[in-house]
Amino acid sequence: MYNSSFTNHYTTFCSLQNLRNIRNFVESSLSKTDINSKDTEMIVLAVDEVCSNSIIHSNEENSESLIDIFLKMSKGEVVVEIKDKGKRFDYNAYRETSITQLIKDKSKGKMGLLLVRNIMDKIEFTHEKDLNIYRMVKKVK
Amino acid sequence: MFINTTTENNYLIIALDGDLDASSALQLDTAIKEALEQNKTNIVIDCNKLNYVSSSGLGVFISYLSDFQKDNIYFALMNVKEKILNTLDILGLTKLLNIIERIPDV
Repeated sequence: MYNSSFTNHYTTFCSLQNLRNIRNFVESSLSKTDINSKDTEMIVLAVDEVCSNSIIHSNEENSESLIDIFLKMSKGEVVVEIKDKGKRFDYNAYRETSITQLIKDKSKGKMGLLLVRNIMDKIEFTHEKDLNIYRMVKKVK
Repeated sequence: MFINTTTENNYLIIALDGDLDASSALQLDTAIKEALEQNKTNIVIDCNKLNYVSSSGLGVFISYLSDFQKDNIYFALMNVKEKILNTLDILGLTKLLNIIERIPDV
C-alpha cells in the first residue's frame, strides 16, 4: 500500500443536492490509494449515510450550514471524520431495529445507521464545543 | 435521478436512471404511489441504469413490502448491478426482495 498517510478534506453546505459531491470526493480520494473497489463503494455509502442523517436531522437541510468531511488514509485503515454544528444527535440512544420489524412498521428510515454499523469497524460520536463529530474507522487490506 | 415509466405485457416498469439517494428517494416513492393509485398489480423496478442506492432508496422499497404482500401485488427489481446487490446484501435484502433478470413470460 502507500507509504505515508494523507488526509483529504471537503466542506460543503447542508443540502441533500450536495450528497453526490460528497460521494465523488470520497471516491476520488480513495482512488488515489490501492483500496479495492468494493471497500471504496462501502466507505462511500457509509459517509453518504452519516452525511444524509446530519443534513436532514441535525441541520434540517439548512443550506447555509456547513458540513466537513475529513478522510485520513494510512496503512491498513481509513479514518473518516464528519463534523457539523447542527442539533446534537444522540447516537448512544440509537437502538437497532430489525429489517423484518421495519417492513412490518412500513418504515422508510432507520436503515442508514444499520448499514454504517455493518460496513465500518468502529464508529464513535462525540459532541465538543457545539460540534457534532462522527468518527468512523474501516480496516482495509 | 430520472424515472421513466412504461408498460410491457401487463407489467408496469419503473426505470431508474442515476443515483437513488436521500435527494431523490421521494421521486421513487411518488412513482410507486402513482402505480398503486392506478391499481397496477405487477410492478417492476428496472435498475439497469441505477448507479447507486443508499438507505433512503431502500427504505422506499421496504415501506411498501407489507402492502404488496397484503394486496397480492407482484413486485420485483430487475437488471440489478453487482454494486447495488452488494448494498442490498449488507442488510439481507437480496433474500427479502424479488430480484429478476427479465420480465416474466406471460
